[in-house]
Amino acid sequence: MQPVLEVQNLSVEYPDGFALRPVSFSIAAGETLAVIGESGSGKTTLVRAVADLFSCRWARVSGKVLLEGENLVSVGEKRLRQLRMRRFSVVFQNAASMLNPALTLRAQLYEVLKKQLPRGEWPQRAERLLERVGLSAGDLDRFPRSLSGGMAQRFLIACAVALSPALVILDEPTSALDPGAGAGLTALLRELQQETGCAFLLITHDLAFARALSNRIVVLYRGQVEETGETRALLDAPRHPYTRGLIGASAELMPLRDLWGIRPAVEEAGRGCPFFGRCTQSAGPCREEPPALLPAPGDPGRLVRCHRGGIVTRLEGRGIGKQFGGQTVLHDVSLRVQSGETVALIGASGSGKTTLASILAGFLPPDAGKILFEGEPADFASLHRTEGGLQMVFQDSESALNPAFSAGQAVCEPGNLARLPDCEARAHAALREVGLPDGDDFWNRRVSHLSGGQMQRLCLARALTMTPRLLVADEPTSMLDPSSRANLLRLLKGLQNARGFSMLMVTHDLAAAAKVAERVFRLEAGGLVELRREELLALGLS
Amino acid sequence: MRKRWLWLICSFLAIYLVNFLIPRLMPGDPFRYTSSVSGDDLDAGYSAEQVEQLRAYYRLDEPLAGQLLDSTARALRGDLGDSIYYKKPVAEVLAERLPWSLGLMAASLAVSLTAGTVFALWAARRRNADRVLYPVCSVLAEVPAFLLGVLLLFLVAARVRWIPLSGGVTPFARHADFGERLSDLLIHALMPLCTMVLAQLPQFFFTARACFLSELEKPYLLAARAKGLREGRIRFHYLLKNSAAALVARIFLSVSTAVGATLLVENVFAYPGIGRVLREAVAYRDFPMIQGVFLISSLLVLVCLFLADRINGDSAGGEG
Repeated sequence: MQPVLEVQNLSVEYPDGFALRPVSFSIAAGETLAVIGESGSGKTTLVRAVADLFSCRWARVSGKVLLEGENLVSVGEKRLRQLRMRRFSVVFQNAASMLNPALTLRAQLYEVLKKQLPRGEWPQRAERLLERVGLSAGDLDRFPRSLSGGMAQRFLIACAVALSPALVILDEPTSALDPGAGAGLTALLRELQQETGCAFLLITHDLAFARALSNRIVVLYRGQVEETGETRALLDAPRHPYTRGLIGASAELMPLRDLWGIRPAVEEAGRGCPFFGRCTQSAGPCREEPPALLPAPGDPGRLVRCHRGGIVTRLEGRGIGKQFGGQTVLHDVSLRVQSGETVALIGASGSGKTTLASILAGFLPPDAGKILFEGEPADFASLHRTEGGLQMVFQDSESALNPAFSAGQAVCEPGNLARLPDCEARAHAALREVGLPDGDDFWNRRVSHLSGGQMQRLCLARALTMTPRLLVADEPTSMLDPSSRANLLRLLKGLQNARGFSMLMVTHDLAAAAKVAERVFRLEAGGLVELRREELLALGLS
Repeated sequence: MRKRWLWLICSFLAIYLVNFLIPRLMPGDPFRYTSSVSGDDLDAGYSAEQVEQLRAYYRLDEPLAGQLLDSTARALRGDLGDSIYYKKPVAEVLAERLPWSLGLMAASLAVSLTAGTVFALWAARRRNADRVLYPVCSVLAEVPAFLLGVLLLFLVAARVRWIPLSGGVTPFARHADFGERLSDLLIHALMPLCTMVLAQLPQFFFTARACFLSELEKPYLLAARAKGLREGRIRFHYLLKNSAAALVARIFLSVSTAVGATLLVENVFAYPGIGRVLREAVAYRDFPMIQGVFLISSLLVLVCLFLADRINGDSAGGEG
């Protein structure tokens, strides 16, 4: 079947550079495609390019916009005028400012109706349309200034669907609405789509709205498609770091978790991947070569533009089993930890959390199964001793530290073992990061004279000196007071956001886990169960 | 609102006072100094007793404060005094001459509003038209109205036989019917009208152009394009309708310049409006007449400015 809209290599160039690099997608009848992205990602440019609304000569548009097979880019203004509102229409953001203040709603709706219908049908049709979108027929004789933002938007929607076009472009429809009005709008748009069979091109940065309304999502960044796929799959398991960043920053999708925006660029993107500077897993080719939009491994419906094939799996445990004295503690446990994410392990005491963490961190050999680090069988001996490897923070920090060491020696120890050149500087920085003093007084104090909380933070500082790519932390906050705990968790999350290391955190503190972890697993009877979003929400609310 | 009313009344009182004082503070005397324009008018003059009598008759012998109270009291009854030069009540002279001036002003305002708006619509949508119209209007706005009048008089009226050089109507003509009289009136008004229109058109052009350009930036113009509306509909229902309030306000603001221009232009073309009256009244130090002309024209300007203020205020307040 021919798609309603097919965009082929559409690009827009302003005099100061590309606003939209070649973008391709298609929408079938009755389907909704959502385009998401931060502001400045080219969403508005895309609307203007698809709807041919550039008023200036300095925007150079190339590529094809095929609406029911007709290329809108080349048909010319006269034909476009015929097609507007009849075959495609736009619902703009900030609806109230889109209405002519000098005309009544009736006059503005008639402007549309008269393109297709005989004069006699206008009044009846206008009344029906207004009632359909939840306004009353009496509103027809009002002027725009007496409407609320939500009413203006409903009126714009009425105009947009008045002539049953094949495509309706919705530009940020929720931006001017009260929080509660979003749900009503979703329902209305769904019903209208069912009645008219039109396709929606939805431009939004509201991921919850996109989730509720769309079938597929296109993720746009700097005018480029970074990822596309089925809405639910894409939002539940994003493949591109940028998509994951957007989801992590969405308060609507992540009501429990702390909000973290995508880190600002540490280095300007050059010729290579546009996301290079903000990505925490960028590698060699990312700087120089622009990546292509390719099907994701194992998911043909998903396209990802990433040299590394999307978010990298840092650690993968497959079929891990462990017995202690004939008693099975872990049975066929599989777990993946991706780059830049925090995975929380919860469970009752004795459920094997620490065992699993120790196995995954390479401090306890499993009876069955294997462990891969970035796709290779994990070589723990080297991972523990190199910078950017794997570090573990043990639950019992007192026994993890040599009591005869001074604090400074303890923090420097891993770096010394790894023969890192600037151990002391790293140690001082790490101490400051975890909120410990780094003056001589503390530096020379004996470990055995420190408090439990100080030792716990000292262990963490030790691990951080190695700038690990994976940090396994067993109850890292158990000895801390609530304020220190909050500081430490925010610190870890902040470091993660900036550096992109992965974290596997064992905890019995579900509330804290829900705040920081992307995914939460519960160990039960030797197996792992992932807590779904709804379950976490229910826990959080109770 | 009360503040505006108070402001209107205070301004009027101040102007009234100045109107009263200026002619009396000017050098010259209506009875001694009948004319400074042509030597022929300098007649033998009145004797000292005659002057005393005349002074008493026109009540110019009293102290200034007394004169002020007296003339104010009479003005409130609608009596503006008697003209010394015309030897008629001032109100009668005004009633005779004012229609000529008002007609000229109204016609010139209407024509320049229409032309200025049409030009501005054209310029707002066509870059090339704007390239010509904008500088032409800028220059035109800087030329004083009387100079425009003199230029038109020499360059056009003096060369085209059927255009009369002066006057409001052919002297001593007997018109067969109303149509003939009307065409005679119109042809006499042509040159003064053209001058006034040229002088006022730039104001309307600039106001309308600024309005249209700011309307063009409005989001609903994008919506209009997305609706696929025709150019004509966009110009009329989107640009013009939303600029209407500002243009109407401009009319009232322009009345002040129109009054100023008409006083001068009428003299260039010897048009029989109050401009001519004022010139003669000043020449002969005809205090009551000067006062009358000033009173009526300043009243007109003040009321129009007040109305313009209200329209602008209303449209600014109503947009929210």
